Amino acid sequence: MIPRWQQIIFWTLLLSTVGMAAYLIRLRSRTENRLLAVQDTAPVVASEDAPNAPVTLLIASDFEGALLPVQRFAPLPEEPSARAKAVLTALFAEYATPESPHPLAALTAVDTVYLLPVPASTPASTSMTASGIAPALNRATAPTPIPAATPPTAPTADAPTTDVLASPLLAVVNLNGDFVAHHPSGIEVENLTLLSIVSTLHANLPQITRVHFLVDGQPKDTLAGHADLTQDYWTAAMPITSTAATPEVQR
Amino acid sequence: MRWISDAKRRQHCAAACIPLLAAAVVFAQQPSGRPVVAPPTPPGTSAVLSATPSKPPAPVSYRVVLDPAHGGADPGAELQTGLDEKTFTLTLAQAVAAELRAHSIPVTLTRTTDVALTGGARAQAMNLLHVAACISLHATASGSGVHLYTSAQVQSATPDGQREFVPWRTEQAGYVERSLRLESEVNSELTRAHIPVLMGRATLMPMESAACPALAVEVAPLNDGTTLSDAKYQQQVADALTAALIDWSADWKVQP
Ligand SMILES: [Zn+2]
Repeated sequence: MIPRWQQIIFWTLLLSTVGMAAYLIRLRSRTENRLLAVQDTAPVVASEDAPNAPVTLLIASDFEGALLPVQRFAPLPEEPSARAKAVLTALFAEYATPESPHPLAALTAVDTVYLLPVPASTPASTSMTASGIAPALNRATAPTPIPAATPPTAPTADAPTTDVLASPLLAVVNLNGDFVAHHPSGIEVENLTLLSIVSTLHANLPQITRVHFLVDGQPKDTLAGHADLTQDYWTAAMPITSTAATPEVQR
Repeated sequence: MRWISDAKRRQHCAAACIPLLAAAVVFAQQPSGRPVVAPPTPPGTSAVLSATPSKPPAPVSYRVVLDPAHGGADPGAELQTGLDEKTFTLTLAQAVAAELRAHSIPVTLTRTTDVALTGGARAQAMNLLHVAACISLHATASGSGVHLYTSAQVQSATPDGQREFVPWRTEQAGYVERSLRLESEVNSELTRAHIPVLMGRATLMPMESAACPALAVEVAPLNDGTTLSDAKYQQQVADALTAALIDWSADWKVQP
């Protein structure tokens, strides 16, 4: 016969164990949902019915070794991740044209763009400069084509004002493996593609201060043998604090 | 007997409760299902340290390392039908080396045959010798003229030789200013030869780990239709690089 006090202790312990387990599962589920909230809202295909809006594309030129701003109209969804992907879709449509100054294969270049808050622990400056932006703008023989303040087309007054828009964002750009396999190889041509992506994202979504690249969801050392994909690319020296700010691209 | 039964019951209770708790905690720490993109670490903050000697001996004599990029299973870019980047860079490196040796300048090549080398192995070859100039040679079918790249790192405030340990891939930070001066001299000689030059900064291996004034030189075709297989163009580039490295032999010791 088990004494009554032992039975009480046993059932109390068992109940508290089950209770704690249930609480932890719920806590975990809530955390996971919060982390995935931004990704879940990103449509797999950018909405075709989104209204046409002006976009600023920073088009790479292989011969000038520089980025040249052009204005285009493209369907831009309101949701930031989908908008970022739509902007890049418009960018790579330019590169697939026969007269492109930076010819790239007419393949889907970007599978997804995830937007995440820039980790708070990120040091303001590291031993690397904003190497993503610096290369194309430090040309000695080419004029700097980017205006001091690139007019942002987003966010505008009617853009959604969620928490995601209020703080600096890390964009994780998931490149398509087939596109990467067909990308021309070379230091300049590869770096220009990355800089074009980074600068175009920042010009249209100024909250994006940092870009990380994946290929088919996996980390990769280089784009096509040269440009480094292991490091993040920074769009501005300092993170912005409000959507109204349009930080100058670091030179 | 009673005592043994009690002890057994306590063990059963512990056996039932503790694993449940442990499993719950482990489960809570590992979100499953759709993968969450982990925030990447900031650039240049790798924890891996390379044991750079605390006081590297200064180069006693002028020596150049030429690094023909790619090789072996890594052909680099396909420049044109039948011409891979790895072959072009090796030919160019050998041409420059021959010219420099003719001027009694010691040269080391990171590879002299069609072999694959890691970025780390190339950097090691550069750093063991403590040389005055490290030039990586590349070629591409995109763009035109010659593209010169220096490291995107900022010059470190701590002079070389005073740093006990240098994080992996940041050795070049102690040499950035001299690398820019070397780039300027190469630019001058290429421009003198009427070859268009673009200069930029990028993160490239083995340049980031090179403890020497370092530069990546990428040769592209010319706008007028001159291809990379054009012997005259190849010779012009080789001559300009040789001239720049001869100029550098007089300037490399000058402090910035
Ligand atoms: Zn190469």
